Amino acid sequence: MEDHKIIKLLWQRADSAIDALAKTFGKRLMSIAMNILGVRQDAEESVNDTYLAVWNTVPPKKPEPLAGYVYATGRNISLDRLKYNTAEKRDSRYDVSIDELAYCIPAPALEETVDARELGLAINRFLGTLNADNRALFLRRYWFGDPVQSIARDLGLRENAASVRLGRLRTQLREYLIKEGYVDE
Amino acid sequence: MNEKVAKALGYVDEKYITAAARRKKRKRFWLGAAAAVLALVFLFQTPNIPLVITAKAVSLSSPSRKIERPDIRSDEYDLWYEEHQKRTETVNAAMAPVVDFSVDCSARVLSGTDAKNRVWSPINAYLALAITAELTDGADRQKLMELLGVTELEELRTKVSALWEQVYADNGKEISVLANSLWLDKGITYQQEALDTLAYHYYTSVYQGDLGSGRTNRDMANWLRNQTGGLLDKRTGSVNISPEAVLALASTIYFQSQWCDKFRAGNNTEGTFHAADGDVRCTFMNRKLAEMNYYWADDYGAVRLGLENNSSMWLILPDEDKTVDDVLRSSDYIAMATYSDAFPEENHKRMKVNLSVPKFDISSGIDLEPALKELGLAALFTPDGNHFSTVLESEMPVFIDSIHQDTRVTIDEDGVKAASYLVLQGAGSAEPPTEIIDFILDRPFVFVIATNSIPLFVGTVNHP
Repeated sequence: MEDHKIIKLLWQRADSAIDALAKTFGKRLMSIAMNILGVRQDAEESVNDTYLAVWNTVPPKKPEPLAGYVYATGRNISLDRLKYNTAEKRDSRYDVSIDELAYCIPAPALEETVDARELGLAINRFLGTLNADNRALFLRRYWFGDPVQSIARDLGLRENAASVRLGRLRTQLREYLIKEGYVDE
Repeated sequence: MNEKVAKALGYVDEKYITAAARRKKRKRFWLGAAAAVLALVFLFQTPNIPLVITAKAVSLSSPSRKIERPDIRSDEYDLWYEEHQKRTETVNAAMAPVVDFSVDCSARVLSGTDAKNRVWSPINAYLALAITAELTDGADRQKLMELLGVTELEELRTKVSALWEQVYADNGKEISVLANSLWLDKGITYQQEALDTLAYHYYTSVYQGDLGSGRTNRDMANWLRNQTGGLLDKRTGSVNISPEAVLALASTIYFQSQWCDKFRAGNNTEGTFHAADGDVRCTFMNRKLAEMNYYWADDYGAVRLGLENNSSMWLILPDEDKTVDDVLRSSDYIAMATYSDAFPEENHKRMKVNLSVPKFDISSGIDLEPALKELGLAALFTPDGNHFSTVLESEMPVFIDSIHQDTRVTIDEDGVKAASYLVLQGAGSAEPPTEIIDFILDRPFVFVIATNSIPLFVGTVNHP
């Protein structure tokens, strides 16, 4: 279903809005939650919490694009849930991808004095310099936490080529952040 | 897990997230396979089937991001309107330098009071130079950006994307497509990201092959033919890139549109056109007492013929004591054709016009090198180093060897067909006194074809 029709249902407080959310975004939300949490039950609860959060915030919000808003909400909820989880949930796919990314970020950008928002906006600006393919590749890996194999399949790349390109993107991000002033000692 | 990085990613723009979630396999992989298996298509040369290009596709042009205008009653209309407004604002901001560039170059490449017809596409050349700016660096890029009227590369990318999309139309009534391709010699090492940038922002495809070989020349000819609707077959069939070339840029525009108000063949007359080299007989299309705006400036009078989808053809007739060169030397005619504020609002009047315009089919090949050198780009043509080091690695000097544009414009009772390709190789009169005016284009005149106020073609008809 198209975004504006789902928003219309949410604004009308129609029960079918939740079904529409599930049908349109459920599969991808589940994948995000599974990538972060790694446990099916937790992931399903996280996805249901996401529908509720969207129901509670739309209205008054009228997010555009809706998909980005729903996925961002789902990701935040899964990350919050992860914080409460025990060490056994460690090393989920998402941990691996985030650590992969963190490894390329210059140390000064990870210091306590640097606010996550500041770093996030710098990453966003970097994404603005990429073409749509590379941006999708980067986000599928580090925002959605998808495995390289499935990203490569979706984007029509060989797995090895996707890995090489991701490596190049990490290097570019590092160089970009250094240019922005996050210079290693 | 690094929580700060995880949190930081929460600030990524939701539009990027949405786009990433939707992004699927690009067309190029399909095309790569098709090129390998459909070689037979080439033998038939069926006009409606694109000719196959066997060169390696390094990066294929992004599909158009322009949203087609939906029905005004549909829910999507608001979204389209917002996107359209945003693009129009970007295009308007980009127009001043495009107009300056068009005026400067048109005067240089079209001047001549002989019997030769001349036509070129300023927007096509503008885009080709924008691509060149993306490929160069340092002083070369700076010069190009000055000429293109931008200060930042990102600004150039945004404006070029918007211009391309504003020109783009491919529907039943009008086809208007700018297409660009960059050709790299085999063995050249390139930076994929830079070429992907070209594919995305400049709608440019990049191919790699053995430049100068018969096969790659044929590939280029096929590509040009595919983009120009076969209108330039005689010219595109003879692509002949030097074997020493390491890169070549081919840029084309194909435009086909119908008059809003078609001419009737039954009203055509045979008449005399007073060309510089003597009188010639030709067919004139006529309209009697047609209500239209008549425009005038110091050196000319003009009318605008509407084409479908916000396009127009401006017919500009120099005053009896003036020449086409006088018109081209002034910036008035472009200001008029692009609805710039620089053209005085009071210099037009709604009138009844007896219009008589010759049917014409003109083509010309224009060497842009002298004009571009005069405009400060001489260094790019000098073999003193690798002018394209941003993208290409080469120990040999890489420079522009030639830059050539071929254009053909044909008009008849139904409308206009025009195509242009460019191969860049590396290595006021008084107000009219009456309410009825005879506007008889029976001597050399200037024309401009513009779409959404963007000058697509400028030409002089000296010998229809």
